[in-house]
Amino acid sequence: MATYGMEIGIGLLAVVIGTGYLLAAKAAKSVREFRQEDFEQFLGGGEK
Amino acid sequence: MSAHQESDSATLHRFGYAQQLLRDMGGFSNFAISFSIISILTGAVSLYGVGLNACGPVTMGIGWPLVTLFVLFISSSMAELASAIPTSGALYHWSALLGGPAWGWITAWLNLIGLVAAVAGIDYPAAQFLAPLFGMTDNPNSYMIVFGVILLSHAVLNHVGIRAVARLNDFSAIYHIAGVALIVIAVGFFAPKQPVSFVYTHTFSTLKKGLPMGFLAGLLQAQWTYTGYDASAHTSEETRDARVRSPWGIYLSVAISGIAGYLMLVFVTLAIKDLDKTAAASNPFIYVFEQAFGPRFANVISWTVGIAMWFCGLSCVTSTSRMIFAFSRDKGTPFSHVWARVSHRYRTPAPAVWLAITLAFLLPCLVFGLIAIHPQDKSATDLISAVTGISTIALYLSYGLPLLLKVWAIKRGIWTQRSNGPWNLGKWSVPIAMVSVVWIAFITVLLVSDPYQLTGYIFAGVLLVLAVLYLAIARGKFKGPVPQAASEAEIQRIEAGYEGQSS
Repeated sequence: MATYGMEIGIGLLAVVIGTGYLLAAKAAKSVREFRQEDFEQFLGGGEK
Repeated sequence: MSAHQESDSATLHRFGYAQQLLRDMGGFSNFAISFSIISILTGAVSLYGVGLNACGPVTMGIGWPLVTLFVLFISSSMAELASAIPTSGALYHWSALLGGPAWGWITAWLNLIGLVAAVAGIDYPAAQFLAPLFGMTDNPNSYMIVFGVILLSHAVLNHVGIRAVARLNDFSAIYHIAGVALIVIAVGFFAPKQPVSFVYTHTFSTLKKGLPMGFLAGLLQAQWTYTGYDASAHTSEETRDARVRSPWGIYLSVAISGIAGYLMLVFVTLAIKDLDKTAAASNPFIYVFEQAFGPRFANVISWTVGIAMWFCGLSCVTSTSRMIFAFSRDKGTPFSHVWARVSHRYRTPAPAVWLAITLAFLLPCLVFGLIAIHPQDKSATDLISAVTGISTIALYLSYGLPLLLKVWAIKRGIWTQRSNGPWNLGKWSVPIAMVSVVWIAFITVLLVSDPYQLTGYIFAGVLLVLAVLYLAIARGKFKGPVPQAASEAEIQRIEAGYEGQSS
């Protein structure tokens, strides 16, 4: 940890910020492109 | 009625539920309730010593972002389900629809146990923290009095209305950001600083378990902090445009807590003067401020944190009461007809609010009762810490079950692209849900491993009791989500009984 700690820490930070941004962007796009007529409310169908 | 309200009500009607609760929360309020429960100020102060003693500064510099990454995955997977099925029951309702009543029942009880333990796990330490600040003697009797007063204040506010609670939550979110800014600016500009490499390279442990195990144990600091963001889903029947705002509330509460928490932990850690003395202090977080600025400013930070803890508990009672209400509405709890009632005057689930605080109050009573019976076995600190651990395990298992069931439903072809709500991750959905489930399994093992075996034993007992209860009283009887009415006209009639009566 003492040898590569800085590289791991900064790299991990970049991964977290990048992933967080990508997930948010993907979700924002899906909200913008959502069409109510394509949606079918899921009401179950699971095992009893 | 606005278009949003019509759409929200129409969604709720598809599940056979009437709009009984007052739908008055906006997007910021929905975010604020989860952000207040995660409460980085509460988590930082009460758990900073755990992380510091486990692996030292590296826990803050590397451990916190690592856990944040996986919690972002979990929250985004939960957000997808909140968008598709926006009801107060949330996790339990998702599990019941995806896997059947048995899965719904177990998810509900895990979620409920986790939430009640969370209320106790937040408000009792808040009482321990606030009692000395009020000049009271530092003993369990004083803590229980302050604990009772804190719970009462939360119950009264939650009883009289979601509007008041939502305004307080809005303020709480701003308060948390301002509190973090105060801390970061204070230590960043005025406190003596370690080099930046200190938080990435410097390890330290009092656990004597070796660096890898110490690092893993330190991850629990962040994992314990990141709980309760299901609140945004539990309040979806009170949120306008819930199919979009509830999922954003879940996701953003984690993302913003991640950023603010990281800044705060790193800056405070960089202000440590003497690592050994800090780690050995009764509250290492406050000790850093005492050493850097003296006792007066440390007292200001203590009050700042004490108030944050109060806000955190308030939001947690809101979330717990909505869960009890929803599960009771589906006849899942004993005396469910009582807890499913909604106050006509305030349009809040008032009986569920009072049940939530009563159960939370009884939990430390149970702990002290056990200590009275076997005083030689375990200390109050061990047992209260086990309560926090159980809260985290139970909550995360209740988060993980519906995610796993959704993947299973996709494999069986009963969940299709058309089932996705507006907030969804498309093709990323399944891999992210699977990574989330694996992480939850991993942290569950960590949470019951040495030195937290006591949590494991108690939680195993809880699971055994739940299994016996299911087989004895719920199997075949609990049918999962139950429509309140058979027709749209009947739902409208129920809603007419509430309209115009809310204050």
